[in-house]
Amino acid sequence: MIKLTRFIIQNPKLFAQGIKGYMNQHLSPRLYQIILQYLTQTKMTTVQPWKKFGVFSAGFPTEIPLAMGYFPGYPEAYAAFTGAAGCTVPPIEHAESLGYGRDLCSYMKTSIGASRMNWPEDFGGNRPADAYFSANLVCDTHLKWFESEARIHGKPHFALDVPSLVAGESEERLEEYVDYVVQQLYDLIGFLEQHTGRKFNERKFFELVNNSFEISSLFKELNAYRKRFPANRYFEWVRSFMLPMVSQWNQKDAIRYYKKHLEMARKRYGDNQTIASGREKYRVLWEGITLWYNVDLYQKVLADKGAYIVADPYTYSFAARSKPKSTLAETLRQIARDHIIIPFTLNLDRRIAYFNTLIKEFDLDGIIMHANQSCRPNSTGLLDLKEVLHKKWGIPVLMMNTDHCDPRAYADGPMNTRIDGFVEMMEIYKEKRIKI
Amino acid sequence: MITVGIDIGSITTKIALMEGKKLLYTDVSLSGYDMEKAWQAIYKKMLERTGKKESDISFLVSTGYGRNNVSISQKKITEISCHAAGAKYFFPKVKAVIDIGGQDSKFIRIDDTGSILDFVMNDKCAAGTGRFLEVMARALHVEIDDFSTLSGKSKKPVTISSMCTVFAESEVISLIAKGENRENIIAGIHDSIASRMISMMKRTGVASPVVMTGGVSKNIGMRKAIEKKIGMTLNVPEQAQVCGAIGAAILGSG
Repeated sequence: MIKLTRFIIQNPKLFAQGIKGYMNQHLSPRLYQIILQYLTQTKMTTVQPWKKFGVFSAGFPTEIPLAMGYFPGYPEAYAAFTGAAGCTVPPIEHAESLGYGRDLCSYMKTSIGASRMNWPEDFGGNRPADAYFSANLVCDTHLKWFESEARIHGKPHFALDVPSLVAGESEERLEEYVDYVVQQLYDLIGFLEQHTGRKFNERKFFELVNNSFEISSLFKELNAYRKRFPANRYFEWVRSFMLPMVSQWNQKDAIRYYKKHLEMARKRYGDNQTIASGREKYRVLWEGITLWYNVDLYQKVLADKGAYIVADPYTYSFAARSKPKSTLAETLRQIARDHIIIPFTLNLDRRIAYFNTLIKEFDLDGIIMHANQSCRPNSTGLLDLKEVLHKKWGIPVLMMNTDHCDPRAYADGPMNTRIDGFVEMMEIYKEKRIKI
Repeated sequence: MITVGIDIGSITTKIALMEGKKLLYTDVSLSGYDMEKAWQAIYKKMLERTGKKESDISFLVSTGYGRNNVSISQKKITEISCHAAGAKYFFPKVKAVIDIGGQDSKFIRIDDTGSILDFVMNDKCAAGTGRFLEVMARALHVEIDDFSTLSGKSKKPVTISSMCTVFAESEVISLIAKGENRENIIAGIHDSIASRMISMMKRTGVASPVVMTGGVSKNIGMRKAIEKKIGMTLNVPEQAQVCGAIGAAILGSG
């Protein structure tokens, strides 16, 4: 709180801009409350010395450190909030002044810049942790970023190396990858026992894994209703709806939250999970990380033309937790498998198959692929994917060359021409589909 | 049915007036700072020159970056669709269009009916656009209209390796300092733009016949550089620069 107060005093205009940015998100009060609760809990760890504070990268199997009493801090989530608040440029520029290149991850630069300027989590900062945990399954930058932070603060770092499944790999090779990850998960348990001085809490671990599974299952069930949900809720869905699942800071609360929404969906739509036809003029899939700073793109630029995001594999990627098995060994094996195969990291073959399903299932009129300037691993292969889908379906695909957290990479004028051209292609595609 | 197309680009504003499928009038002027003034002036001039009244015009379509500034426009269509329609007007069998304009360059794939199949545009960077050529012309102290003739005299085009306009300008200045002749530098600039175009074209797949539109198509050196790299002849309409406005007028007739 002291940090936030200092930030407000030092940056009154930026703070006002941030509040305006947050308020512009069109979120429900409960979602605002969830964001605030998470941020407050993060800050509370400084006055709770008995609690360990861990800094995690997206995709890390948090259940294991959480079972040993760590609270999960997520610099990427803080950077995303800062992006939504429209305040990432000063920290990114500060990170660049420290020598971080323009094409490096804008989450990382927001976090590093804000942390070095001593900004609070609400504006991208990150307090020193007791330990740092990185996984490279969704991002290669995590490893060096977290390694560097751990070194700066003199704290331990655990790096989980998850192999990528390239196209055409056999099941046998996949099993070898699982063995490799499982071995590291045992190493992680040893690492935690060493740094906490406590024995691994298996009972707590199983409870957490089961909660994760329940959260993922509920999220998937809710996702099935997305065909019925008004698509203008995309923003809410991506921005905060997935937060309880990703952050895992209070699993019980997350379960309650999703259950409540599922009940509401069931009450409203019953078993009907089919698309409400005619509601959206153009049904669009968004591939890649959302543009956190650009609510207007979705709510105005696209929506004014009748184009709505109805599906996004990115969000769904976080709902990949399975039910715990009867033994620790089997459960760790399942966790390893869940982390190797997620939609966000599918190889090209699997990605094509997955998109073919989505095109049919969500009755798509177009796809926007975010060729993310500061997340090249995620953007690699998009052109191949585009080519295959375009050939098979004739579906319009717009490659949007911009950035998830750096608004300097987005120029309205040139982008609007591309979007308008994309909408014109969707119009033609729709007419052709109707004729067929 | 009389239709008008107004194409407001970053450098020039173009207008076309059509009666049915007959092209009656075209004009080009500089866009300048005030786009509203730019289209009003060219529109007024068109009415005066053709003797048409506003009430004679059945439909007006605006296109280009300034398309939303044309208050009297009845429909706003992107230059992507308009250049495709314009190219098809001149070359009915066209399958692909290259348009190098002041602010961007595009490659458009179209089907037999003239509908857009796919398009690709340059990244948010001026390299490979008309603006890039303007900057280079300034660095070389050469009129942009002379680029075409001068590049034709080149014996050994230099390689311009920078991907950014500003860096490329520095590269050109250092080549001048080294004593490289202007003809070779200009031919090298054309080659570098052509290379960018080719990589864009390959993203959607090259199909022929290809039509080149936009102001840069007047530059024969540029055309030749692209033709050499894609190994086919480019079709260039006489009214290439006004193709977007003509396409807009065509699309206005429904």
